[in-house]
Amino acid sequence: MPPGPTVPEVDVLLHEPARLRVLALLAMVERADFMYLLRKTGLSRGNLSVQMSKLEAAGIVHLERELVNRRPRTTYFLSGAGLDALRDYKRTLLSLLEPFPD
Amino acid sequence: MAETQILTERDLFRSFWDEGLLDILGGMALLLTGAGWQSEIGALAVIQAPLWIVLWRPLRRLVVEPRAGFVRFSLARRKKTTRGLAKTLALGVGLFAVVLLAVLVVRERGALPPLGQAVDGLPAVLVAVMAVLAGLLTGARRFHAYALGLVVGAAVTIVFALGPAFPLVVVAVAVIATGVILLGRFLRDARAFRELA
Repeated sequence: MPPGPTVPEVDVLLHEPARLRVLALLAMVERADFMYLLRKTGLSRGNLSVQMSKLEAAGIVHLERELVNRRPRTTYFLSGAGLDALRDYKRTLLSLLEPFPD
Repeated sequence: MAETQILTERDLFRSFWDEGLLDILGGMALLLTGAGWQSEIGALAVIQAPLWIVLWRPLRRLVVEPRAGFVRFSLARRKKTTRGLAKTLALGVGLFAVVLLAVLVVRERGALPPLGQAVDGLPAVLVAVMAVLAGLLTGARRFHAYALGLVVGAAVTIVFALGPAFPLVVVAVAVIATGVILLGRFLRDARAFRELA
């Protein structure tokens, strides 16, 4: 049996600049809608839509649809699994960066 | 939260108040309080003030959210804001009662003219304290500038005997004008963003 990797592996789903920006934003607030994420991340509508679909499909973010003043509002928030994945990702990244020079 | 995350969250929260709606509504409350103070109802003019603030949420939903998006901040942030608002309100009502009492006592006793004039500056100082708290609560520094304007206005009204309404009305006009400029800028930016996105 070949030996396992000694250098930890990074979650490639999270390790993508556009998705990281969205996740960093969602980690700071409780929830936000598409327009808020669009304005604060600076991503294009199409790009954000693709990234949100991937994150939702992976169970990292959940979405909730509700009617506010008879208008539909879809908000995104980090799921429990998403929070765990972010904790793991942060731990992995810190251990990977540890040997880097200051 | 790490330091950079705290700073970014603070920036996000501060930018939440950048569209000027609160300035316009707060300015209207202040303007009518000042204008009413000159009339027969006097200090009781302040009772209309909370009505303007109540309008903030529905107007934000109608005007701001479709353009800036919706966000709900963390529970810790919301609790901090609610506690701050309650304290600001309690302090405002408490100080208002003190000022009202002071005005009544000074008038009743026919106090010395300088003291009577000093009382005329108190409402503006009271509102200035609330503006400082609002600035601390929202992180929007312009509220501190409003507070400074009110304190200067209070000093001017004491020196030149212009009456308690003067600093309220003058600063209210400035606050509304600032709010209108901010809202105009927000709407213009939102239109540009929509075309770009």
